[in-house]
Amino acid sequence: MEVQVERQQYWRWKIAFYLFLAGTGAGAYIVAILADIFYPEATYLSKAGVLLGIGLVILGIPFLILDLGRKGRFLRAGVTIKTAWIGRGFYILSIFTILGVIHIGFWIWPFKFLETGNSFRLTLEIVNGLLAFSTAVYTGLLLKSIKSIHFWNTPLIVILFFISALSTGTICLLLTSIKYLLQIRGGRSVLSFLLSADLLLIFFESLVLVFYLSTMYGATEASEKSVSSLIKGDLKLLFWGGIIICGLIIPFALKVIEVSYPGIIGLVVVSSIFILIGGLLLRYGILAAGVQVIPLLPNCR
Amino acid sequence: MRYGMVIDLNRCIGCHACSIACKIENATPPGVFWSRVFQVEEGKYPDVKRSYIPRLCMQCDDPACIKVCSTRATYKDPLGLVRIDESKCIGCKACILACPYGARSLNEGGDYFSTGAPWGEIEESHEVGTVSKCTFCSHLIGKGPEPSCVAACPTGARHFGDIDDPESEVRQLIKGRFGFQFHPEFNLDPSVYYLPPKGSILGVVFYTLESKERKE
Repeated sequence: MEVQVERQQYWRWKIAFYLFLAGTGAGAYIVAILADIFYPEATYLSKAGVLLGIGLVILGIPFLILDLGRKGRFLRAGVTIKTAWIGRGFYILSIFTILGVIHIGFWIWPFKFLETGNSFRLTLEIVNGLLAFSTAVYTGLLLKSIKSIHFWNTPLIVILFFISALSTGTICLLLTSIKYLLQIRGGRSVLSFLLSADLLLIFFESLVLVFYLSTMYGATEASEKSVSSLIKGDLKLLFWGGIIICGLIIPFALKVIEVSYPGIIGLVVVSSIFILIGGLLLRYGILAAGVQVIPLLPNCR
Repeated sequence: MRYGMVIDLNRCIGCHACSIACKIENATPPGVFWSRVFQVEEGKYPDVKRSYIPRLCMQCDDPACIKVCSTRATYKDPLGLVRIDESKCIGCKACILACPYGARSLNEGGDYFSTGAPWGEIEESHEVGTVSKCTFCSHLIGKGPEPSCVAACPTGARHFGDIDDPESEVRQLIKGRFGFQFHPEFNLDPSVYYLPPKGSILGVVFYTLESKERKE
């Protein structure tokens, strides 16, 4: 008996935006914490990253709520965390956001004393950094937990989403602090470092993507159909144009040009925007290509 | 005691009486099918065959839908049936994706009747924006009649009973006629068994073996 399959229609753009914003925000926060620990002179960078990280995650939450069938009941998403990743994500994101707002609160006048040379702040940063890590990883684990979609049910998706989160987070931070970095001494080298680090991340992301797709192509009938719909099916324009050319090739090409003609800030900005679009389309493409293993096709839809 | 169903694929003629009986009994809204019949085409021209596969919630022993539900809207009732409390469901759709049998549908609203359904009470219990699925007609269990799809089947392809009882009709059918479950590789242990059509018993054996291989 042949097993026929169909692509899922339930998690689409809203979930893609949510996964993208939560991942990017978490990535930006992680980079900010790393910058604060290893490069404490760049307070602007770490502050911008913290603000950006929290802001993006908060921005992503409405997309998740809008996708619900009963939006008014969204608080029920946290009823149990025993096995459900939606529930776990609810708490990871809530605690991350609350601690993040407390962190931002340190910059405001009556609490400023908490910020300087204080182990409390460092502890908070590390705890929330771990939560940011959990947020980025959770976006992949949520999909991995759906076992009936073979294309998602692999640890590779977690790694892919995590690297993509770091990459888009770095680039978002770079975009928002570019004006400041150009004004300060040594800012240009920080800028160049961030961009190079990001391209390295994109390089790893491409490797994982290739490995992921080739593994899935050979895994099961359902996952093969998922990969086929991306590379040669109706999602091919989105995949080749959006994810590969826009998200991976153009940023690399622009970097090569930038090495030869340094100082063209427009190139950095343009390649950053392409990387962000690529990151969003990667989430959407993987969601849309999710083929659910259903024994048979419905004829009454 | 475990309620289960056996569907004889030899007997199904694809008349959709079960789908309609289910709609009438449970007053499900448009687009929501708790019970439906799927058509499969096998082979290549000129050697082709069309067969029908009726489907409903498999009432798994270890359901994937309960695991992904973070609201506890999906639960197992005292009869061991997997049920949904629509008043708790937030409509996140994770269970629709997690179910490998496509048993769940999202109620996207709408009504068959401009003036409201004549059933009233049951129709009102379906909440727009929530997910629902077959309950094995749990409101009828113990009151005599079989689930409406079983009662409606004109060819007697459906059998309902206790699959734990070795003497029951359903268990005897599973034992004697190579009853099989779909997707054994997920280890969900569904309570709905299918009897393979004549001539494809070997195919079913291969299907089960292949699924077991995939599991390992």
